[in-house]
Amino acid sequence: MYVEYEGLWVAGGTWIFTFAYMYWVWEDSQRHKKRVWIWLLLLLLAGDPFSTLVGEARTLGDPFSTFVSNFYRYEYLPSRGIYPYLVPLFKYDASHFVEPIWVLDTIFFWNLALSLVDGTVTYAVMFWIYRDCRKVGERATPWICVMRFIQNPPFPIGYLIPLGGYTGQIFVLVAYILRKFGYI
Amino acid sequence: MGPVETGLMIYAAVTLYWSLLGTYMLVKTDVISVKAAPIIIGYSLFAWLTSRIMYINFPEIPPHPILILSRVVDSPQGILTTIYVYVRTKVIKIKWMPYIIGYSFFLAVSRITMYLLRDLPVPEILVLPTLLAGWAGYPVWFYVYTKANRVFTPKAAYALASYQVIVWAVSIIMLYQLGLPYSIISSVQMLMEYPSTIVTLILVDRYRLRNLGVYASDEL
Repeated sequence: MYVEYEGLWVAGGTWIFTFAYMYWVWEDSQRHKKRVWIWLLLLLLAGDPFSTLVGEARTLGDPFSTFVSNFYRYEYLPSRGIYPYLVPLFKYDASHFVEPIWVLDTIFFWNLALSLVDGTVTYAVMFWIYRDCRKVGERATPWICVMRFIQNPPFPIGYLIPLGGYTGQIFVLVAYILRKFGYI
Repeated sequence: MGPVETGLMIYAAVTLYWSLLGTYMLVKTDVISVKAAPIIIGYSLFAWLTSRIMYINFPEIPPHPILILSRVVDSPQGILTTIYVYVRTKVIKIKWMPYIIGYSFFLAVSRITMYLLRDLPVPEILVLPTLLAGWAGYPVWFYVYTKANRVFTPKAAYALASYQVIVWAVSIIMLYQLGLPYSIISSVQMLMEYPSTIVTLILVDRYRLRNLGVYASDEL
């Protein structure tokens, strides 16, 4: 039932986190008088649509994923002679589904809940590391940029190092704490 | 309530959650003041609501006036937050009034141009406005990078502008001469953004470090 309207379900507000971590990266690099472009390049390669925060520079992402996502965008399919579905609002025709619709709805809302957990852990760890670094006078930029990069790395890195979601953030947090206490 | 209403309420709650959490982090790390927090939350909810109303009424490509309005709503996210970050962290300096006037003027020019091109068929509707919006933005960036701050020497600015002309010409050739589908055009465009983006990043960084006294040389 819900999954049929998938195109309608978009959450807002995450652009604020991009605004925040871009500020943190610049501010931290200003304070430590260190180079930042290499780290910003990592952020841009992670393909965040709102990572255009470098002036005339654009978000980069990877060309392969851009090609695939635009190839299957349903707005363009009619121009290729394919008419997938023409009822407004609906993205999928439920009669074509093999699975019971409640199973798909459950998976859909499970994914939504998981994305909330992923996002909250990611941004909370970033926030904590930045504040901790500022307090002790350490540099936060590499940590923030690596955290953002491993969350959504360009093709095919994501397949080689599958640390998406909050898994990678936990690794970074553990590494940060070990470094903070002098173990690495 | 039907599934649309229920789903929208759930996603409104998620949007509110991200907006509150993000704004809390902005305030706690001194990015914005407490007074500015309601503006950020209000704008965030407004932008989300606008996009959803647009989608409900126009699930496929919306008509031009609606597309123009939605992008005007989206603009503060990209351009204004970029400038805010730069100015607040003292990477660059600008005079706000000339910047805002210039920015508003060129935003209006790009949107009117987009409206005038409203009858173009599907691939062009997505390729040309992107190019035009980019071009309309250049004078403002020129003001920021070359006039108000010496991030680019005139030589470097000309080199970058020439490269952008080549990128633009390649997109037009792909669109009209070769008749390539948008999926290929968009991935080639992305690849062609790599050199200019990396050079811009390096120049902004060098300018910043020079001002901080890390680089003694004034050469780029």
